[in-house]
Amino acid sequence: MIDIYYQVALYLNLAAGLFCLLLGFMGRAPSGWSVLSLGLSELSLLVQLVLSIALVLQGAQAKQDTVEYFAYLITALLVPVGAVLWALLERSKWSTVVLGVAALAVAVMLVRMHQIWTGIYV
Amino acid sequence: MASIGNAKRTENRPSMGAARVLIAIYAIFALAATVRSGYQLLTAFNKSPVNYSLSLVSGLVYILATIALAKGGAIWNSIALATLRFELAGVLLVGLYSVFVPVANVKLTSVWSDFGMYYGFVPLALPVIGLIWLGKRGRR
Repeated sequence: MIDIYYQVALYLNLAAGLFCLLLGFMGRAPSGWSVLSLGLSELSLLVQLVLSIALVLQGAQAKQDTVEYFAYLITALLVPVGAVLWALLERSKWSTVVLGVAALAVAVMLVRMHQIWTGIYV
Repeated sequence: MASIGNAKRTENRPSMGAARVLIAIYAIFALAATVRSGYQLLTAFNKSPVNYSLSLVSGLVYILATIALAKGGAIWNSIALATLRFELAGVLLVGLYSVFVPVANVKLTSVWSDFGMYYGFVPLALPVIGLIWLGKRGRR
């Protein structure tokens, strides 16, 4: 895990989460903007996946457990996809809140991944 | 836009919009708890067999609870009630037990250890919120 990219991805997902929560509680149904922010969340994870594979191929390993790290990453990749599918199926303001919750869940999973990679628990 | 969602609803399905968020959190938690504990059981069963098994059981119960909450209807409602009570009992009993018999290493704990503290107390909050919601839905 490259530390600077981890920080960028973390804050991007936090921002996307808060943005969607705000739109949701304002009563907005999922729109281009909220779905786009979850698209960015998914993109941030895909980049994380590519970077992580590259690091591991170069011989880097997670301090705690590399397989567990990738299990988290792959699980996290499913979350924005599920939330966006939900938003497409049901266009109510609560789907926008669900988008926000999903992005925040991704942020939490990034923190866990960082703990697994560095072996440092705060 | 909200009218599209309303039109699709029937009597038996959950109709409180906010409950959708609860179901979404349940779904994420079910996925995370099951994958994590499944992996721990497969790779490090001997390190903490009881806690990892407990986590897997709780993960599977979260999956069942997610489906039951989403489906609604009399039968699914009672399943939801049973799974949520099971979770609440689990987090309280295991939480209480772990206070008296603490585990030295955080990595060896279960989802329910220390009342779900390592998961931001979400395991404690979810069944409470879920039961309150089921109670409200039942009274209408």
